[in-house]
Amino acid sequence: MIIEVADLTKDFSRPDVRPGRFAGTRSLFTRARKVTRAVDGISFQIDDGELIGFLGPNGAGKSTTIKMLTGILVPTSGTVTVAGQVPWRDRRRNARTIGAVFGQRTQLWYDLPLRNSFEIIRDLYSMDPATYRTRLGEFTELLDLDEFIDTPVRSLSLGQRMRGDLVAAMLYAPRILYLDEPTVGLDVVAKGKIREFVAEINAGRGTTVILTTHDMDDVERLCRRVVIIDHGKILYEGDVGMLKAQYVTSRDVVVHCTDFDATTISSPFAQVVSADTFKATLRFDPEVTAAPKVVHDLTSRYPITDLSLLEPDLEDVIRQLYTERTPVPARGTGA
Amino acid sequence: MAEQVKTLSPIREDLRASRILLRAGWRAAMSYRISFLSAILGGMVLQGTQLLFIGVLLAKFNVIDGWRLNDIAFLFGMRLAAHAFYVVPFGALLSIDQAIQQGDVDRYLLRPAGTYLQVITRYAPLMALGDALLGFGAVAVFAPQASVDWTPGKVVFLIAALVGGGLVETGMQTFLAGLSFRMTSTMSLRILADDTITRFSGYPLTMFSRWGFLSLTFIFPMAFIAYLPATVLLGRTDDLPIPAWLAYLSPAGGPVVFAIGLVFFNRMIRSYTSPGS
Repeated sequence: MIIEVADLTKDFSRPDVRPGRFAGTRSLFTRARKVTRAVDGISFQIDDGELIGFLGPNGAGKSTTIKMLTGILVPTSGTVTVAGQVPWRDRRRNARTIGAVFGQRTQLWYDLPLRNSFEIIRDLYSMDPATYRTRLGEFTELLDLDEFIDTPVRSLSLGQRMRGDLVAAMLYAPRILYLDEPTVGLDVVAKGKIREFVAEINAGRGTTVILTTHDMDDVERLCRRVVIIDHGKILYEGDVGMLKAQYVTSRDVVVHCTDFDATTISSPFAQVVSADTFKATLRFDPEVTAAPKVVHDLTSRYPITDLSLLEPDLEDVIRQLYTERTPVPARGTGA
Repeated sequence: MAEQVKTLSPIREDLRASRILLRAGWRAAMSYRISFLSAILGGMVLQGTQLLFIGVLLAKFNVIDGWRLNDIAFLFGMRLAAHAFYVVPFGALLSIDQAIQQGDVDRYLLRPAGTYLQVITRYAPLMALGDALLGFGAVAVFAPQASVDWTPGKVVFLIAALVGGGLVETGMQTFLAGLSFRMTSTMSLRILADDTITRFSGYPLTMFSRWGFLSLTFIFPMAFIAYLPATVLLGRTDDLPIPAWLAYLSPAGGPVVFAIGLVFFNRMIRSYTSPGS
């Protein structure tokens, strides 16, 4: 285990001011405090070399948890160990073990060319020049940095800056990389580049990656396991496939035809949910009937020109999970 | 792929990091050339008005609390030069509220260098260069005219006093900056402290009542910045309502106040809440 979290809790307290007359002035003198529990006794473990998705709606406690894992925040109670260290107590040693990219904020030196930021990081992390050159060369190629490496960070586009931030976080080869919304606001090409890079450093270099995102494409393409958190508690921890299997109680098959009217289609194993002349969608319960049986039934009885089996949509699953807000017992590869 | 990390002691690590970060700060500041030059000039003008004010005051009264023009000018020069030892290396402390409110402290906590060090190197305080030029210029001009028989020992004492005075001011500002981790903003408190020091630390502080003087020595230790060491150099320790040895030891007050401020600052980092969490 490279990361172990047990009963982790974080409270924030602020003056408790009731609305009404002179609320601003009263806030200066009130002694009452309002305590908000952002993270509520969560426990999980992450294996060395894993790429794990850390999901949850806004305000769920994701960022607070990540900030405790990185050593930015001190927990109210509970324990966190990252590569054998307590992040906030062994902050400097922990800093050499981890890299972090926060989508909303840059870690780079704003007024200096990107290359200078990399050089400062090289010096701060005491990298030897040859390793630095080799690694920067590899990353430059992977992320196409050539065109803008000598541009001041303040003049970079969001996608360029994000690529710069990723390189800055990985130059000194940390064992763990935290990515907080790395693809937010990026176009499809930039998203693709970043996903490729993340996949490569995880699979090719063995870096453990903790990815926070709202983009389910990121999760589907990169993560095998997810931790889903809401109201500071874990809703689900386990395999992405298992999550879908648990939540998706039906699957859809779409058939296209040209030689007959699709509105006449029917099946003993599936129910028609929509149909027009050329296309029909049928829904079946995979627990009752296996997908091949449905497909075989349809293709043997109708002259179908095209057929597709829709993958369960993770976004729908997550939406359903957030709406119901009931913890799902962990299944799959979860610890 | 993770590699063996070279471990240095925190102090050596911070010295190395400060060199790297300072270079970055100055390089960034110099990328705005016009602002670079105008800020230096601005610093000189701002502190210069204080000097001008003293001139006007003394032209009118000639003597303040038994101190004559040349000695007051020297005391004021010491105050300006000591201030330079605070504001040139530590001037970026002024932006601690911003660093906390905008979450820049997140970034500092993620790097293998001291948080305080990264706060003070977050930008190069250009106006401070103007303060330094004026302060050191004022000491160079007024020291030979003061009622001091200069010996090498006294020159060493003067230099120690200026550095110590700078550290006293730094320590006080560091302490108040530490409060920002809990209160999010201490700008007005810090401006009040800065303003009090700017206005009064260049005058004979015994002009306040006995209790006023004692509070400016032991509670808000502004007397250590210039006044106490100046009484030693000018042979005026008899004016003081405290033992003379304390005035002789005044340059050592700097490291003490600074250490207290720094310990407090580092302790308060644990209260940092980080925006957006």
